[in-house]
Amino acid sequence: MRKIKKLIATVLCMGMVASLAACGGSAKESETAAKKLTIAYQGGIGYAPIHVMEVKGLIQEHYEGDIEVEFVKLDAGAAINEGIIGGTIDIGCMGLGPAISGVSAGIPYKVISNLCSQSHGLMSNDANITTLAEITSEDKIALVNTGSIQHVLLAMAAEAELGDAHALDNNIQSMSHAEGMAALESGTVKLHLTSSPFIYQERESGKYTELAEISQVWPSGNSFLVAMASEKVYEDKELFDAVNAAMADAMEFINTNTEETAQIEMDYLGLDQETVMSYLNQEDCQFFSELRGAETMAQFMHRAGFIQNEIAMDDFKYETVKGN
Amino acid sequence: MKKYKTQIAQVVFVIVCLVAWQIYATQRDIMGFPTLNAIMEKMIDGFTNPQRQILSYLGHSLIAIVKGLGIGAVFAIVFSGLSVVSSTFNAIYNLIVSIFDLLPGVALLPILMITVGANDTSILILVVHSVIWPMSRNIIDGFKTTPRMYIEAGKNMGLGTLGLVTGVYIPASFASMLSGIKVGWARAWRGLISAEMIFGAAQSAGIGVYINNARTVWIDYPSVYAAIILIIIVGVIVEYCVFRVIEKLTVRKWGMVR
Repeated sequence: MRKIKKLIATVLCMGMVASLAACGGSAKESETAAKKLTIAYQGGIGYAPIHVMEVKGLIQEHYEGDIEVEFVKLDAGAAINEGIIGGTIDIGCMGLGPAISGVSAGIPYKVISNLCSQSHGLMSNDANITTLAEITSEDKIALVNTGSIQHVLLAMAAEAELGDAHALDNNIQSMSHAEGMAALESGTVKLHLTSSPFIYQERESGKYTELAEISQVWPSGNSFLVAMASEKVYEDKELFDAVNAAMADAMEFINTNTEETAQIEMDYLGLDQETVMSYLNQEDCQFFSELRGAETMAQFMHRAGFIQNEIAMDDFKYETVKGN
Repeated sequence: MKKYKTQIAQVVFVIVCLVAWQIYATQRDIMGFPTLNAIMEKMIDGFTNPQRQILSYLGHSLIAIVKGLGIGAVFAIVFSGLSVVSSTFNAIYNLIVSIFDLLPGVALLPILMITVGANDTSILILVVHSVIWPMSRNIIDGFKTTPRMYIEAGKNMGLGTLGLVTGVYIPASFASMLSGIKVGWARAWRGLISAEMIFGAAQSAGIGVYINNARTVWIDYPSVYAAIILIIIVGVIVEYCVFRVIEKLTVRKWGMVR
């Protein structure tokens, strides 16, 4: 009896080891089935090109052969990074800052296309604070997260105006865009650095002063969101070209059919047509596929210690992407 | 030899797992599944690199949990004592415990964010919440199973209400109290780290924030594993060096458990 028990235990242990090792081998064998592409995006109107691709089936249209395209919505760039590393996500869309950090850290992806530019701004509810220099150590600045593009923009402005990129780091209070807006209104924070559409609402309310430094370091029209494709997608030439063609179609569609785009976005954002149209008609809300300002931001992020390894533009984007 | 059989089995099991891990990690070479040496390197880096300071993150979490456990335990003992004394209080407290015991602390986070704000107080409330209900449940159960004879004996000796609670109920139900603390600690430790990871804020820089930073800011997965291992080590230390010792000195010594 005892021997049998021992035998079972040994077999179980061996089985565990074997199954772990087997996982390594089996991942690549399933390619004979219909090809599958998984695209991950986050919440917001900036992901409109991806939404249009999904609704219109643009990738399927451009790809010759059987392909299944799956779209998933995640709520953080880190989750998308993990999906890319694990191989469950092929194309992930995120902010420019996280994308630069990801490439610098060695995540196997590069920019396949820019998605949009959006508006950013730092609003103050205290009339005495109109420039960065007037912010004291007591004044809290709400923004989504350390390491987010909003944090990088604040650091860029701090470097330009105060001489130290991290001069305002201790003022940061992390909270979501919506919570930050509420905190600015209730006065629990003095300042809020946010992006569209929240920044539009804060500007429209007329209650706050906008600090000009953010738009001085990051002018309107610079890249905000980018689509990152894994090397696996790049190596599959036909698929890579199909995604690029679909992206070009999506951009053209958005830039020529604002009303139809608004119809599509209403479903994704859960907003009424008027609001969506007002977002799409904002001057800063542009959709284009070339990179603008990425190199500047990458250099700054290295200089300010946001990333450890300097990255060249060739490591950051595929050669098909224009601009830098 | 026979004496150490369980220990040998445990050690062999751990070694087999580690070897399997190392083989798999070296073979696949993927970012999210680092080798053991890479994890160890990052663990050491976490202690020595002045920009990482994993110890101060861990210390922050431990302080939060000790405070929370202390406050939670005191409340649990007081309320459970009151519910032995008063049957009305008992009825109400039972209801409260049944409602809140099943409510995960993390589900309360949005409400805490609005009412208290994203700060250490919210985290403390969360820890107290995870400790107080399971502990109360255990303590009340322990009080209820206190043999009638002890209580009668206590009364005959002229003990008042407070005397009965401190002199009879608490010692008689010490074993349940201890298991209540254990459950409370486990819940609080998990709840604390979840909360820290959801806040992800500099205001409450515990070990959960360290994992979040490793994941989102540094994009350094070996450090994520290093922090997880540290969390496990803390758990093991608390289990073997704190609870086992208390058990040995009290309920085991008194012959209440085998």
